Amino acid sequence: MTTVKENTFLYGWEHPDKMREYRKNNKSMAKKDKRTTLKEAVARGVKEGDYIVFGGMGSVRNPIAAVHEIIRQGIGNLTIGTKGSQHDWQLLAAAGNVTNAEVSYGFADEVRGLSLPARRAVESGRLKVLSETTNAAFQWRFTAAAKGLPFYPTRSSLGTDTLTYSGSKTIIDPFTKEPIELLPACYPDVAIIHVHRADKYGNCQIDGNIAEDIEIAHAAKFVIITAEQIVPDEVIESDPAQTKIPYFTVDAVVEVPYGSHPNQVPRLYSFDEDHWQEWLDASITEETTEEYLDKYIYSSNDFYDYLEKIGGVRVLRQLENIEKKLAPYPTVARRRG
Amino acid sequence: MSSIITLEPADYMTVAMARLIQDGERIFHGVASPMPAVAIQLAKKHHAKKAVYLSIAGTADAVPTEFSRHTTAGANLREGAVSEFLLSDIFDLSARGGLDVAFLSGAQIDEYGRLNLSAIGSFQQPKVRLPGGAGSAALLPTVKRAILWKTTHDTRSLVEKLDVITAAGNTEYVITPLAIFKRGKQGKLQLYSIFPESSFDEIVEKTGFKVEKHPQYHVFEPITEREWELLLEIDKNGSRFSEFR
Repeated sequence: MTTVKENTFLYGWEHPDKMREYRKNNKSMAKKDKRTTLKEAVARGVKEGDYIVFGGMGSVRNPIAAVHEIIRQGIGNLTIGTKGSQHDWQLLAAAGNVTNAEVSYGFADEVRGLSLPARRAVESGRLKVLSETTNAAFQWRFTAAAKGLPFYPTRSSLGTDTLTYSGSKTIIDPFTKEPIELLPACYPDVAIIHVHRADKYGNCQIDGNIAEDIEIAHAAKFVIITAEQIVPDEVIESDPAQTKIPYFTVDAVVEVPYGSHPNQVPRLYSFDEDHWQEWLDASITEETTEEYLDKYIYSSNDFYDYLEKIGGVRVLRQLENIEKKLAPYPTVARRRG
Repeated sequence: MSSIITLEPADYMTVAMARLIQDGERIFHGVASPMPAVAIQLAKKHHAKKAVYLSIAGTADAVPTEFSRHTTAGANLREGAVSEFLLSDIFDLSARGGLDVAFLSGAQIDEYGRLNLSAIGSFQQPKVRLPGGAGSAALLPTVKRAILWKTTHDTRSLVEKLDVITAAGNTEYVITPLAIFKRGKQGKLQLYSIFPESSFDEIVEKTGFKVEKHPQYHVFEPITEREWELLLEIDKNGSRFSEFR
């Protein structure tokens, strides 16, 4: 078969048979109590140099608590697949834990503006953008991995630099006799997904947009679930259709209430605009970014400690009320200066 | 339209977007897209009742009662929906020829309606690292017609040459605070309409590529009373202004 475009940007790819072997040797599918602490889950699952993807969509349902823990443990040289994630990986970039990224959407906070720490990291050379890809490509790369395939074919990105700077190869499709892009499967080392509720085995229920969370749970080598709530088995059994991720894909389950703060978990709590403003202001210079990380992450024992620092129950209840529309939405935080 | 009200570029742009939506079309917008989100509802309430609203929030045909100024991927965009329809479903729909309109934006747009969302300067050593193309490189070539928008109109954003070609494909219109471009001969953008406060000379001066008038060039029709009423009703929080500082 003719290969039209070769590539030098291949990351996250594995031979499907190697992954079958890996799962056989390393992935327990047993139904057992997987509850643990965030500290232990991160220490066990996240290694220096790993390729990580985060669940959620945009600024919604991001595993911020797990990100704090990675920063606190100083696990470095990470590669992040920024399939649409923002504040999660940007905190890691600000703290210097990330040295590489495959980017679909990653350097902005939607309407709040461009993310300065992640940009500074790239523009100064501390962080390398390995390749550019699309949300669709990430979706399909995880889909290929979930299906045990080496690649996923698509006709979409031909004629762009997104294709040039991606891990894709272009061949002549033997059916149409036309060029077709082959997206390499992506098997992340770790997927970290924040969900509304899970049982102790790791059966996960997500309300609202599930994004690519199902695919990354099936594609990743190690899956950490942080849940707003660990629920009794009956809650899951009474509504199995709502269970999006089954227990046998999951390696660790941690209960982390408000684990997405300062971002939103639909139906539970809203964005913390005051804290967002503090972060946006702090992230303008290297010094103030460092002060923010010191104050809220390095000097916190755990995420509960952080939640006290951002205002504790008083603030968190207010964010719940805003989400339920029992309180007005506050002024939206914006990049200043 | 009463002449007492001072209209802002966001008002013109949102109404212009709505007018380009046709009845029965399936339409998508992504994150950070407050004007398209409002425009789709405006079109649905005005002239395109059977248009189908698909958003990055993951549902089909939501009827949001409120638009927030802080996110366009939030749960409010799921209100009243009839079906789950995830971003992955939208890419598939587009790939198989079922998506009519996608609203997309970029840091730079060239005369072929191509987008740069990756970097200013070189890709490997950027002067400014941009957000990333998100879904644009997958949607732009597969959607039937893309409507691009830009909240600035200057020679830095409408350029002769893109620093990086993030996405290329079926751009039909480009809407800016000053004007609307439409793809014309040889696939190049041409001036389709000018908003009231601008002029042809201003457009030429502030556009990085050569400006020619499209055969369908016309003066932008004033916003009607009905459009204005609906705009205020749909966007009571003023989310359409949130992309402007």
